[in-house]
Amino acid sequence: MTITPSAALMDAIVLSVVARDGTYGYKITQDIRSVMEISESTLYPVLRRLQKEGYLDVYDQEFAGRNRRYYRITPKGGVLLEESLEEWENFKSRLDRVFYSQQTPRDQG
Amino acid sequence: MTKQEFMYRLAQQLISLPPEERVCALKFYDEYFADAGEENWEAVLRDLGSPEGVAQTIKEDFAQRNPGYDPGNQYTYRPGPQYQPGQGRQTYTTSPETYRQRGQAEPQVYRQGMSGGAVVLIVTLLVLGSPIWLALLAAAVGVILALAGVVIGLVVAAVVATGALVLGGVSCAWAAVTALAITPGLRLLGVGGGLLLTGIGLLAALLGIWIAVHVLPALFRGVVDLCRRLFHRKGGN
Repeated sequence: MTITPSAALMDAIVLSVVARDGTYGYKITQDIRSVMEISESTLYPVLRRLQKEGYLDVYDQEFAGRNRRYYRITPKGGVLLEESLEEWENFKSRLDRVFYSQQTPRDQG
Repeated sequence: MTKQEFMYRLAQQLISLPPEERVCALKFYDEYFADAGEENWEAVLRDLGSPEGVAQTIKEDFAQRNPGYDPGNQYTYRPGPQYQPGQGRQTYTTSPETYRQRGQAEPQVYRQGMSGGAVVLIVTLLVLGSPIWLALLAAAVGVILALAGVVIGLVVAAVVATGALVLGGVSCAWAAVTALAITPGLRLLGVGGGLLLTGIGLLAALLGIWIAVHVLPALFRGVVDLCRRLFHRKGGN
């Protein structure tokens, strides 16, 4: 079974990866691919949209004789990430209740 | 398919995007290949799939942010009103309302509907024709200064002449009154002539003052009006 993240969840994943350390396109893709199956073409539109909407900003820095575009999270992006994490926690605990309520009834509280 | 072929076909597919968007996407994938390392290109190409498919995701995302854009359109996208300044190609025409909102003066070029080319042409003609129009301008200034000189000269002459008449008349009358050895007839003639001259002088002075008050301003206004019509043919603008 493959669970595909929704667009909003994908945004949160990208924001969280970028927030950990300022990073570049290839590395972000690989970081995410190490935990879930996404196509390598998924990421660019997400990054571009988050950048255009002001959640990420970019800067170019030289690396090995060429330019590399780095991404970092903006304060606005930080707010969105925090909201997303909160929502994720709610979502997860509700799902957990459905999934595990029989085995661990005390979680129902 | 090689990396070069992939990039080439991707670039072709993105031709309908504004240059900034296209360059940004191409740069991303170019860097992506560089960071993956040549030994991984085969795997990356396999995973990315067709450049047409990759282009589709890029164009669909752009279309979502820019409602005026049609991803199926093969022609270069021209931003509509929903398009935000600072993104992509800069082909907006600032509307007169925008200038009013900003509190800025609307540029002359916009109001007269003059194209950039026309402005360049006019400036070029002005610069190239400077030997001619500078000479003409100098000649015009010279003529105006000469006319002003004539007017000033006439005024000074009239004032001096009037003053001379009054002074001469008074002196003549005074001389006739105070002269010792002359006949009473001559004395009367002297006084009468002197007073006559003084009267003529005073009349001339009154006439001069009347001219200065009524005629000169009208004349001046006429000259200024003439100049204005010569230099600003679209008077009242």
